Amino acid sequence: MVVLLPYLREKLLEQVGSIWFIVVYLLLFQIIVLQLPVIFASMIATGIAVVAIGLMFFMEGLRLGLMPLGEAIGTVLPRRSRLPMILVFAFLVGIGATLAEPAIAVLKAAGSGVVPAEAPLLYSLLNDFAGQLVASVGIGVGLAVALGVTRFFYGWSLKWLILPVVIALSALTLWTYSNAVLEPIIGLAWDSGAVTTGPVTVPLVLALGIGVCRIVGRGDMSAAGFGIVTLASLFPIMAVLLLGNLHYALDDYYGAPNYRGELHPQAPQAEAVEHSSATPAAGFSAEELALYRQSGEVPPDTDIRYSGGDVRLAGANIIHENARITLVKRQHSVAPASDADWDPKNDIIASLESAALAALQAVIPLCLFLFLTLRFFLRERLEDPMLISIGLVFAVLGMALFGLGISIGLTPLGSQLGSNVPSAFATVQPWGMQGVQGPLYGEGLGGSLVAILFGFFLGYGATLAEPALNALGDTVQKITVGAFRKTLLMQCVAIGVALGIAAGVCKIAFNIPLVYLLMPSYLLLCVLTWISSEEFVNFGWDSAGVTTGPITVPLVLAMGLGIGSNVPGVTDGFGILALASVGPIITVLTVGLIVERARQADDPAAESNS
Amino acid sequence: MTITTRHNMSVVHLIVRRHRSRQILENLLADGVPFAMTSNARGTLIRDRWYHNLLPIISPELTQIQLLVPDPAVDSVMERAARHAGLHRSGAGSIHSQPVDDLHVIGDMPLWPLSAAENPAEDASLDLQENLTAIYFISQGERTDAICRAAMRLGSHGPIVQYTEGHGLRDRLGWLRITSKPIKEVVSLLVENVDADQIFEVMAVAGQVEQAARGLIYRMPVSKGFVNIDSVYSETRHAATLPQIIRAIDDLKGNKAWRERDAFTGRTRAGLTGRAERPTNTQAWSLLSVVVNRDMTRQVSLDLLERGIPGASIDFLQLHPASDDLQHRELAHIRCVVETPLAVDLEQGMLEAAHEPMMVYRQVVSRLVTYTAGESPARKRKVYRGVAVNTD
Repeated sequence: MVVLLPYLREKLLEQVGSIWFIVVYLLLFQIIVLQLPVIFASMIATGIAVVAIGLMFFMEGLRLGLMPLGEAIGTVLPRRSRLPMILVFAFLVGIGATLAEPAIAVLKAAGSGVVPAEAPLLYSLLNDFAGQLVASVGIGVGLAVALGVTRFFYGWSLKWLILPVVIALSALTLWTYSNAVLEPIIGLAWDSGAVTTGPVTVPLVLALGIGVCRIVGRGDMSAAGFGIVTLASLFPIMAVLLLGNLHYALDDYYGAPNYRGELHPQAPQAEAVEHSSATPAAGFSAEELALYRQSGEVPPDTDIRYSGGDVRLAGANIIHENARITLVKRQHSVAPASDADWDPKNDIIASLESAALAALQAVIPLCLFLFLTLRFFLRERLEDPMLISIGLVFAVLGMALFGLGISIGLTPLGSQLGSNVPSAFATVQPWGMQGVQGPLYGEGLGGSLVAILFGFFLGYGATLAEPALNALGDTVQKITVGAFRKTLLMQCVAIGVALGIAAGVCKIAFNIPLVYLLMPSYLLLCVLTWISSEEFVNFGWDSAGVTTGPITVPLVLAMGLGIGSNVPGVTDGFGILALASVGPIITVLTVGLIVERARQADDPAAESNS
Repeated sequence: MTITTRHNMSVVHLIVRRHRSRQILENLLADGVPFAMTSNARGTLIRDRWYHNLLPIISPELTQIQLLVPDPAVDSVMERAARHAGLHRSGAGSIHSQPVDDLHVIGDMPLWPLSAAENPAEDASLDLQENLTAIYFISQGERTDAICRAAMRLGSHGPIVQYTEGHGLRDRLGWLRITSKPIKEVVSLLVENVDADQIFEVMAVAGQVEQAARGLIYRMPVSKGFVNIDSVYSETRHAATLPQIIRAIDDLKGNKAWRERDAFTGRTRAGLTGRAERPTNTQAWSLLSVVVNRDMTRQVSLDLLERGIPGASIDFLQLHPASDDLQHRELAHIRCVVETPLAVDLEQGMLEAAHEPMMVYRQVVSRLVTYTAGESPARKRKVYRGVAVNTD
């Protein structure tokens, strides 16, 4: 106990330190800026406490179990087997990693509202060809891991792998964009790249790479072991885009001549209606309607709106004919719909069960595969099996608690705010409340600015709390012997994500086409990658791959949908995530260039290490 | 199993920038050095302008190259190493050699061949100093910055920091060892003998070494050395580093009296008097080094713990052989500072246990300060606030 208590305290405080910003920020925003109470406050508070405890166990699990296991196998592999065998192993690890992350479920959930008539190919990919979709993402990640490991053996520069891939991806995306049927799959493709790299696979793959580099590495590169994550984010995009194009060419998607599935035109309609009913104004009841029919008197506190019809000047009067007259109940204040502190629809046992199942699925099969390979194929014992087992138990426990905490704490808070933020610039019914509010800060630029600022700090705070990025930061600090501090990397990435999300909110608020934002950013990115040093290319691209994790994604999606549904002409939140991935690469590479300049100033040889 | 023992050996440490290390290493191996061991380190820079704090400055990444050289070859090797590393250039790195008592090698470990005729140093352009002392502080990461700052305020170069894995108490805890963070940091620096005591003491104070579990600080003699390590971040390149300039002024003036000696205002703060050139009990403590293959680390360190060492720190090294007879592989350098009689026993014990392959050697530690829980009547100690200050 004497030993255990200070340890637990220190670890818990560490995690509290990483999540306090986003929590305090969200609460203050809701209460002070939007002037609304927090609904289901005790459920959210419990959830956040559970997130902190879950993160504590999970990060310890990474440190004690997952990363040593990955590193152990990484060091044994090059000594015990030849390159072709290693590549097969790497490929299998990639596929295993895809199955471990609940990515495909996320994609399916995100695409559940797809209307087959509007986006037939996307609908088909998510339903008729779901198996092929998973397989192609898996093969993409598998190839990426294999290529990443080959790179270590031959000491290839990551730059010269990234640039052609990014250019090819951009060309393919532009081609896809130009085709109305193919266009909707762009979102799916880029998102699938982001979600395959999660909190379990990233540290594991990083550790594996570092292990391999310890044996075959050149020794003068501090970024040894990095780069796999980047490739594993890029290749699935390519795979999904190619799969989409293949089915387009084969004409066997929904509604196309060779389609074999059933046509069911009306199915997802109900869901779409439910979605759009998220923000109706509370209005008149059936009794009030009956009263109005009888008496014909306009009830008190009613606004009368006229729409449609013809307006003409007759004599000295303006005459409005055939107009539609709408009576709207005027709202004076908002009040919570219920006093409950706990969302009655949220079943904690069911949430815990699903979180535990997801955790087991993410950790156990992949680790078992690694362990069996190590034990029976490579015939090597683990150096410290007890510690690694404790680590794995911690990882599963942590992951389960973390998932539970997110589903009862962070997601409800995020979706409340997401749907309330538009009240800064539009009239909405706040989440879980009766009555309408806003626009608090004017419909014009002022309100939009509030929303953009909100997005900025949301991205900043959520990124700092991401477990995979924390693990990456620890790794960077460890392999550079503390020369590159974790805090520096985290701050760069967080600011990058924040800028990306702010740009994403701009895109929605001002309805800017995504291509106008993405293409210049990627162009800038290519130039920066070209001129940056190898080390920063590795750190920057890898950290971008891990930013879109379990904390950022739900918060950002909730906000994107909330804002999107209040801006005419915008229906999806896609684009924010893609921009949030570009941002950190740009900031890390920029910082890298500044550092490089400083280094050249004090380096005797004045040779850049690129 | 045969044990090869060599007398009159030295360890040469060459510290260079990481991105140039590979080239330097290849040149060295091509230039008659039979093998080298490398590990990673970082430098320390202080920022001399307030706005530098706003810039993302990362500490210089360094590589330490270690060579185990017979004494007759040391001068020539150091000269060659300095030439390949371009040490005369501003902020290029440092080199120093430390004497080793006896080197014992068992099994498949590299050994410098005795037959090779060593050329005398051809080039005397590099002025090796013979008045240096090495100070090492093994600390928990949190105090490292304070320790480095304290040393630099007294005019030391930017200390070199390395990661090391602590074994000891941790390994006796069973599963509870999850609670202990194994990674510690080793702060090392080379200072002139005349400054050594003062710097040693401010570092001890800054690192709070008098408290439990704060680590230990020790000094070791250096035969020869040359330091040219940057300490100050600046945007422009200079032909010389500040320590170089200071040394040049020393030479011109013929003394060091011109230097501002008041920097050490904290001298009496901890009751450590900071008297220079105090006689120290030179033979009381030794540093025992055991080098094994990395996968044997745990086995050997547990063996050492059973034989009575209080703890050990473990650095991981890469072995780079010049020829193909030996494998390029990872080694673990297990170090423990113990009383000399125990060190001798341990040395013997390790040779009897004969973990194979293995390299064992002892070096003299001239001064040590750490927290000790109880008072041992056997030795005369000065105690200040629980610090056992081992003077004579």
